[in-house]
Amino acid sequence: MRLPSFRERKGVFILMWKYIIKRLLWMIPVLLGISIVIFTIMYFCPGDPAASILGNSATPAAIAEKRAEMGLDQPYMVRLLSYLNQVFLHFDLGDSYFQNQSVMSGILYRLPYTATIAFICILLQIVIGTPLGITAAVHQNGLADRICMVIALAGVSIPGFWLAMMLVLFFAVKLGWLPPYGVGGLQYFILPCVANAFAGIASQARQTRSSMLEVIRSDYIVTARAKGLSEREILYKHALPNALIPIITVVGNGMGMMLGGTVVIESVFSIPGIGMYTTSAINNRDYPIVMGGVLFLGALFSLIMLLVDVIYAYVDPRIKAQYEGQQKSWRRRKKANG
Amino acid sequence: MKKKLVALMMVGCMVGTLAGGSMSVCAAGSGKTDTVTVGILSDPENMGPWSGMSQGRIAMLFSVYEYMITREDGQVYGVLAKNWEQVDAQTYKVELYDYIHDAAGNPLTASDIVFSFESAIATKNYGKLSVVESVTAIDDYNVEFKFNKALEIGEFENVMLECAIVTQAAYEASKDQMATTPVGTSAYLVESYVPGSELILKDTGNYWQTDESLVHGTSLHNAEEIKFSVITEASQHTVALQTNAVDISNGVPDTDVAKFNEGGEYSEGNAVSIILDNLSFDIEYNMSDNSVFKDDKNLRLAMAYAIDKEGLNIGAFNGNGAAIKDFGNSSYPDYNPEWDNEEYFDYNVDTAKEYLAQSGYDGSALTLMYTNTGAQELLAQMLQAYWGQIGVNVELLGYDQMMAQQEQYNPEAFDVLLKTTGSTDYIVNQWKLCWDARDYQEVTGGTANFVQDDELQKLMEACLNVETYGPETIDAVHDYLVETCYGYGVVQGTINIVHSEKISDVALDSRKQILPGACVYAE
Repeated sequence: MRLPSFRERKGVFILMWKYIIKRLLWMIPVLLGISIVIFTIMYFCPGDPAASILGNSATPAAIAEKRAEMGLDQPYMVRLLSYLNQVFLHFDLGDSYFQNQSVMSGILYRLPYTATIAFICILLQIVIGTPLGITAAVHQNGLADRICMVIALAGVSIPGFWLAMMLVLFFAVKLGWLPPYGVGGLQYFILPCVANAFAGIASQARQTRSSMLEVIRSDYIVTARAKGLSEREILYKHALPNALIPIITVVGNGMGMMLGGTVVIESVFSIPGIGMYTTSAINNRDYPIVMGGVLFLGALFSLIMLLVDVIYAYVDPRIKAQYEGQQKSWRRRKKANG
Repeated sequence: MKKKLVALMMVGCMVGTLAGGSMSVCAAGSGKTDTVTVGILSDPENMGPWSGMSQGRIAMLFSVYEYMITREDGQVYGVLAKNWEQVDAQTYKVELYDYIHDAAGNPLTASDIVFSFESAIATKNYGKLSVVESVTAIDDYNVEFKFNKALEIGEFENVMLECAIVTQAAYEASKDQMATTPVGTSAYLVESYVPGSELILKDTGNYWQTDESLVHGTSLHNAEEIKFSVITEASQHTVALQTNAVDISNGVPDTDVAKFNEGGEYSEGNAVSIILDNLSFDIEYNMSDNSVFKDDKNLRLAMAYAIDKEGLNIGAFNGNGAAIKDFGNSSYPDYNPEWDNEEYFDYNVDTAKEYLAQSGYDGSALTLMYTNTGAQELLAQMLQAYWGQIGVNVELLGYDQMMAQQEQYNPEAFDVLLKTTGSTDYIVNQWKLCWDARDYQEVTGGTANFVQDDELQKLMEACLNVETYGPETIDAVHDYLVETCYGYGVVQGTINIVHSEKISDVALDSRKQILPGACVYAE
């Protein structure tokens, strides 16, 4: 087989970058849409931040004065345009109503906690979920398959909140091995990550099993067996790479789920991440934090999905070939046009 | 108007001490500890002296900042203020101690008081400060407060208790307006703060008030180190106490509190202090023009007589609360104990049915709006059952606090409102939170629950006026509210503080928050 020339590789590289830039530009309307939706939800959401700041004994007159000072008495369109102007033209998520701090610095302070949880969870999802799925597929309808699928079923059925409390009662209260809440060393992340990752592990196992079963039945796997390749070689060299696309999709979606799931897990384990930051802001009707938090997570998720698409190109020869094909036709067109 | 000492006026007014829910005042110097960990449900978020109020912030406020005065057991004491007097109807003069310094060592003078009040007023975060016209330093240790109206009962004290005092030097030295590094005049300074997780305060050992006889509850410093641990999930408070991760918490779910009581599952090394809250659970009828209650006193009375207040107390508070006999509760110094012996819509199904028969009630469903917290949820369900047994069909509408706060002024949102109200000083100021039309006129056209009644307004103004405030005007409002039945109190709730046996006496501030520095420790 002829290896691609440097010129061809460069062409594919340029096309990839074009694609990435195009996707990044597409993120602008996506984020604009998210901003408008979340702003509209918060606008129509009952509850008044001014009343929250002033407390229960505040009179309606005092609340009205505070609302005017905060600009909350402005019409919907005025406030929306002002917010979009602030976010998209000045790259400013605004300041919290309660904390003497910009929303961006609040998010960046909390990001490491959320990112740590999400990263460990996704790692657990891949490291545990994928082998579980492979084992289940290889031993389809056998004992191993049934055990793996029972675990997977439990994972998708058990609510993360309930599992978190059970883990706390067993490992923190009964055995005293792990801290029940808070932040500190790595040990503080074990229970939250296990609780948050369980559903992801289950989805990963189910998706891997399903993809592997589809691939295992393919003709080229039969051919590989007929060639006398070992089962291990067939599995890891021929079957798994071809089953990777749906698996990677689940990992990408899982990352989004993990980021979203931290909202609950961080509250249960009192971890001061973006999830807890946003939830407590919802209770206080601290609109800038809620909108900023959602927008930030939206942007992060869009980037992750872009990364997933780029990874597709590297793991799937068909997609790589598609880029190479585009490069060739582009060169042909260029040649034809002189 | 003749000058008169405000303190003397207060003595005249405050004859009783707060029952049950009173602050446990500890003798300075007794029962100290090296460190105490307090479980709190929310992060303080912003510890700046004049930022907006939040649940986490209120928990640490009195440990970091001091105010001009303090209120304990119904009595008012000076903290930074040595003396104060009323000059005329709208002017007060306050003298400061001349040896105050903040936790960073900056001396505090009258100009710092002016700075603090002016800064707090500028934020518009404090409605009670809206009556302040000007604050002027007369000299280094005397400040003049001018108000834009003649103050009503308790209003001066509320102004003095509303503004945290800091030195201008410390405030200007702070990079973030004290949001994470507050410096007040209390004994404590922030040692470390992990937003959303933990706040550690350390006794500087250099508290300005060296005369211990003048150190009151909010200024006590019986713990060398106070650690506030943010635990957002209520059930984790139970775990934290079980595992000794915290020493004291008021966030334990009601369902778990009994487990810490004597003989309970987690009672070893722990105890529960059940304290009567200053908040009352009240019923307010929607008295707007289109409401079924507007012209139907019989329906109002029928529903009032159908409620077994003692039943509510047992059902929601295990009998540790109190059935109440007024729109407020008996913990206020101006509560008239004779009301306890009077008839106050005492539970009587037959009477309720008689009133209902005379009413124009057509069997349609009425909406009971409430805040969906644990106790209110339970109370709402019980009220629905009580009203159901006389034939009044009630639907429940639970909102979160923010939404309920907004919807209470919407006449179409509800028929009956279950609400908690409370004041930190007098019963008349609790009444004011519903019945003083001056505060709600623009929004409701009358009182908070849309009552338009000139007679009630006249009586309210009389009992709030410093000149006419007294047993007669207080009784007049009480009697009028009973007679008209626009609304009534049903039960006084409790605050359950679970703590380790290391703490022998729990101290709370006037807002019923734990004062870790003022608790008495067994070790």
